[in-house]
Amino acid sequence: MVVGGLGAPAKSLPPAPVGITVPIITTGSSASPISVTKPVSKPKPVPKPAPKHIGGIGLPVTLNTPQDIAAAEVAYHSIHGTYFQVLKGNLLPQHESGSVKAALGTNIDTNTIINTYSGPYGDGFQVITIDSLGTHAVGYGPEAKTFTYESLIPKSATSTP
Amino acid sequence: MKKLLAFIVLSLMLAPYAVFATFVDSAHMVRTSTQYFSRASDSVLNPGSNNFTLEGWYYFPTTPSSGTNYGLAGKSDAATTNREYRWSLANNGGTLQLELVQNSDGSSGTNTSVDVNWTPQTNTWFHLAVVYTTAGNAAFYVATDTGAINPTHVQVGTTQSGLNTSTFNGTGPWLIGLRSLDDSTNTINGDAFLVRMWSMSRSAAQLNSAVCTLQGTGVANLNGEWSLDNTLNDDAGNNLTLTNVNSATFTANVPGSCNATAPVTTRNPAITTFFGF
Repeated sequence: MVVGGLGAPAKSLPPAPVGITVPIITTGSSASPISVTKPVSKPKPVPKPAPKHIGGIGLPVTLNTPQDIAAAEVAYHSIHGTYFQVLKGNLLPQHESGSVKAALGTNIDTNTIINTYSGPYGDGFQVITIDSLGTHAVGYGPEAKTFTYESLIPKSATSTP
Repeated sequence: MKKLLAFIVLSLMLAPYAVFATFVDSAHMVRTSTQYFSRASDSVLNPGSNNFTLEGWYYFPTTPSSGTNYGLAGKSDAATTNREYRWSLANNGGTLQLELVQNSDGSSGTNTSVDVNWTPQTNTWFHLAVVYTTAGNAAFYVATDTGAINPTHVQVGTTQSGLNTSTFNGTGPWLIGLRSLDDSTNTINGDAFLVRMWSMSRSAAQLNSAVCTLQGTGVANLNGEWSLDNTLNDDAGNNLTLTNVNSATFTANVPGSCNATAPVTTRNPAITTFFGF
């Protein structure tokens, strides 16, 4: 189950290629608030190594690799106790505030998505990169294995892959 | 006086039997935030050569646009060739449909799917179920929340055929609000409540009988039960605790039928254990 700690990113996948747009992300309408909501679970503190890429001289213009993003997420978690979710195009979901640049130090590649999770074994996140070959996901944290996969675009597309 | 005291004592002793479940919350998932629930694969959720039933209460503020779907539940990850079963509200070419995709070996080569047309009214609770049998058939059922007790299921369309006669025993994750891990752009937009997975076919009468009743542990062929009432735990006793992906929330929105005036008796194992039953 556990593949790599939060300070030791999973190594089951090589750094995913980035930079080529494949418009396969579709989003629906957001739900209107129904009533008072409360968080499902409280974040659990997890020890993290010191970040190497954030806040120093030589900060990259964008965080282009899952490893760069992982370092930024670890730094964010060490301060806020949660990981930071980012939608495609550096957009933020409803439950996040501020900006990607403010949270992670700089924007991420526009074809990269960061998902977060909180489960019985602790918190983690998933970096999804979309390119001309398909979707590449790298999970971090206690459920890294579940959230690590690669979905390549088939030569002949089907409606139910 | 002795009779009065005896009555009071007896009443206090029997009081725990009148367990009235008042449901409070359901799980609220926002599609634009890619929110859903997952659980790493557990073989207990693999029906294999058995029939199976997926059921749960769902509430849709919106419906999916053409070419997209709202995942209801599933156990699948196509990216790792672990396609098992995928249940969704799909918009196929502008027509809303309940859909089951089922697979016998995990590869795309054995994908089989069935659909029935169904357009839900938005902002309304529905109890949905899909019942698969190893004859390769599937039937879809819907009960509408009326606010009164015991909503009745009706079959949507006819029983569909052409599915595989067994289901792949894979290692794809169990999902609620998403049908397959690789399909993460197609999460649900809405609320879910009291979702169950059975390794048996359930009749409409059986669905009616338990539509608002927590089944708890020790129920034959009940492999997972998640009330989602402010908890991620599995009530069926298999410790299939969910993981919350992207900060879904609990919201005070539950089917009115499940909090109707008549009591809903739970099978609370703590209470039954206390009394030695």
